[in-house]
Amino acid sequence: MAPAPDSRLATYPFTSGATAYVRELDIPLPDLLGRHAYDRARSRGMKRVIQAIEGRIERDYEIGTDLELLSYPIARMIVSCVGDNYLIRRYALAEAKAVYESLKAEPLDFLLVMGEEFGMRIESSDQGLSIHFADYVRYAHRMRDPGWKLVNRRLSGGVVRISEREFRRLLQEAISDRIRGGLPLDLPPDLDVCDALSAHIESVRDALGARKTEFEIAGAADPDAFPPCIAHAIAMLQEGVNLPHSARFAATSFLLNIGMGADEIVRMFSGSPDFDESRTRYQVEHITGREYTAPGCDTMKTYGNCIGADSLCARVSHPLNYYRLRKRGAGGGGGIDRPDG
Amino acid sequence: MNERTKNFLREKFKEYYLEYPIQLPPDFEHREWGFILFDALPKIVMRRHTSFHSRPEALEYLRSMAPAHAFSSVAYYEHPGAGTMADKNWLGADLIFDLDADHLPDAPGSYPAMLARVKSETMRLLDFLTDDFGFSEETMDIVFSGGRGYHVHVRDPMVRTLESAERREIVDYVSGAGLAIKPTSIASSISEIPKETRHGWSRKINRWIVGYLQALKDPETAVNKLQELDGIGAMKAKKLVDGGLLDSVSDANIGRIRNGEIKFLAGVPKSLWNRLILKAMQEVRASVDEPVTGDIKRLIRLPTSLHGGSSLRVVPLTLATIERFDPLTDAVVFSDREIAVTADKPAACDLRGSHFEIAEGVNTVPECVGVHLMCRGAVEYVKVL
Repeated sequence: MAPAPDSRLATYPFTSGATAYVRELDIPLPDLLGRHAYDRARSRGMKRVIQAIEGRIERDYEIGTDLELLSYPIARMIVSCVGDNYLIRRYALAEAKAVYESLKAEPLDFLLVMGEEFGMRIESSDQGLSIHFADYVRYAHRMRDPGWKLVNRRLSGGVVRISEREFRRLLQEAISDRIRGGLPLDLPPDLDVCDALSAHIESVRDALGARKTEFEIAGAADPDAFPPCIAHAIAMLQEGVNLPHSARFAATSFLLNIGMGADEIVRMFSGSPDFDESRTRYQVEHITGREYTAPGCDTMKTYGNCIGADSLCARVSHPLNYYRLRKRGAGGGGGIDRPDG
Repeated sequence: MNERTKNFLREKFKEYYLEYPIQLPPDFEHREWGFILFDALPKIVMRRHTSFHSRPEALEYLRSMAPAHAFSSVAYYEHPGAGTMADKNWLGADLIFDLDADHLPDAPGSYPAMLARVKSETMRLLDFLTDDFGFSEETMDIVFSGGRGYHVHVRDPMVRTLESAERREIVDYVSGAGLAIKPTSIASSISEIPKETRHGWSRKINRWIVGYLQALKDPETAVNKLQELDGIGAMKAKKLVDGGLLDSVSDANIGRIRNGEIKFLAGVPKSLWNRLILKAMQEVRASVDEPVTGDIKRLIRLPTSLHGGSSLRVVPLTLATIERFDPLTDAVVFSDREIAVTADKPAACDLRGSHFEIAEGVNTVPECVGVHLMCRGAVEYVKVL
């Protein structure tokens, strides 16, 4: 019998310690997927994902450390079976945010151990915390506040001074990366994981569908249905025209909202003759990392990005609504919805 | 460049690769190599996706092909010789800085003055790299690029896996981009200046300002020196000095200025402090070519190779030797033996401390000058004398 686990393992199921503990439990995957003993782990795994879709993952203290811990790999399998880029981003973000809340209550010593888990070279002294700049920029470069920019930090001898609060924030980013990393999983081909979890996956799909009709548009991207402003911005980018940031942002966030992944978007922009993959990827990922909604028609007009408006544009107030209507009406005189509220 | 000239240059480069010690970059087996041969010049045809498994193999290539330009990747790959970037499997990359006259906002026109200016930018960069970033000299290769600048290769394993965006943060740091302490205008309100005790940019700015103020010795030199600041002419400078500026920044007060305090110096106008901060930023920042550092798969010129556009050697340097290094003497590898060259129009160059003027028609010049001008496309080869 395995020793009683540290209940912290369930709070931090992505750590090497947690992974090692689960391995020691030595539960065959078919058992985890099928035996009654793990029913609650499976439904808790599903709940993790649904809670992520709805906004916030809450810890379940009722089911015990082992089952709570096992629900994490289950949740990853469910997310992988659904195989949706948006879901992956949203799930990773929600897990990381939940962990961040837990980290707030942890003492510094624990944070330092967690830093080690991610290979961060961090030291604590009377002077405060200092972290190697390479570990710092790896995560800090994504933060928008100029206070995070390396140029505005106290850098000396290769180390950056940071506060405990900042350290927690860097850890959140590292955790988010770890959780997102490897998703979707390469599931063992000889075992139909997705079949075994089909009921749970169905519930997740429903929740995701509800969320998407609320904010997004499902299905494969259909360039023919792009509104003229977005089609124009993409065409300019492909021709290598240096677009203003507002237009680039509009095109990228639009494509993300209709469910395209960062790789697909980079590929779409790569037609440009002076295409700089690393720069484009940086810009796209900068936007991908956050939950932005594409700007509405008013904003597009304000920045001079409303180009080539047609008769359908007059009936919508948001490029996403234009797309939604066009896509639905493809092949005929599609019905026109009321403008979004 | 005609065929005769190409053949001559290929032979000269071959001699170089046989006689001079050639350094290969660390872990060269995991780098992609690229070469531009004389054959296709002036068309630039890069032969890339090459890899070498041993030092003799690499040397043999250089000696037999005698390329006009030799490059290796900043990146380390699992399969450096694979035909597509995706198949190479990127493992990491050195952190590279390229300082080039082409990217300086105010580069002087003459080649020697331009090189001197880029060198001073390089010294500033090295100060950031050793002091702020804490890189030890052993992990850095500093080289003259053979063209119009310098390259710094940081091979510290700590930075190998940094991605492009992260490297751009480092560029922003050394170039002062996004610095929050930058005053928005000369008239901005200001109650203190960056402190010497805070590391990073604050300290550098404070030290520059203190050094500047300490150089304001007597009223006469002070009036001249103040005019180095943007927007300060003779009248304003004199007014500042007459207003007691030198007393304000006397040694007795410097300690408090180091601490960032300026409020107690009521007689010194705010605009002067803002001007000093702006000037300090200009004097401290290093202008590096940003896309080069951000490109984690770039090919970069091989140290100890020859630059086919100048015939100059890509010379490895150290923190100690760069200061005295004179590219137009120290990077010249060919002899003073005389050769005949022919020019369509007049040309000129400075090499090994002498100035050479080429007239239209056939000229007799030292071999090193002839090779240099052939590489620049200014003359064609005639014969050895």
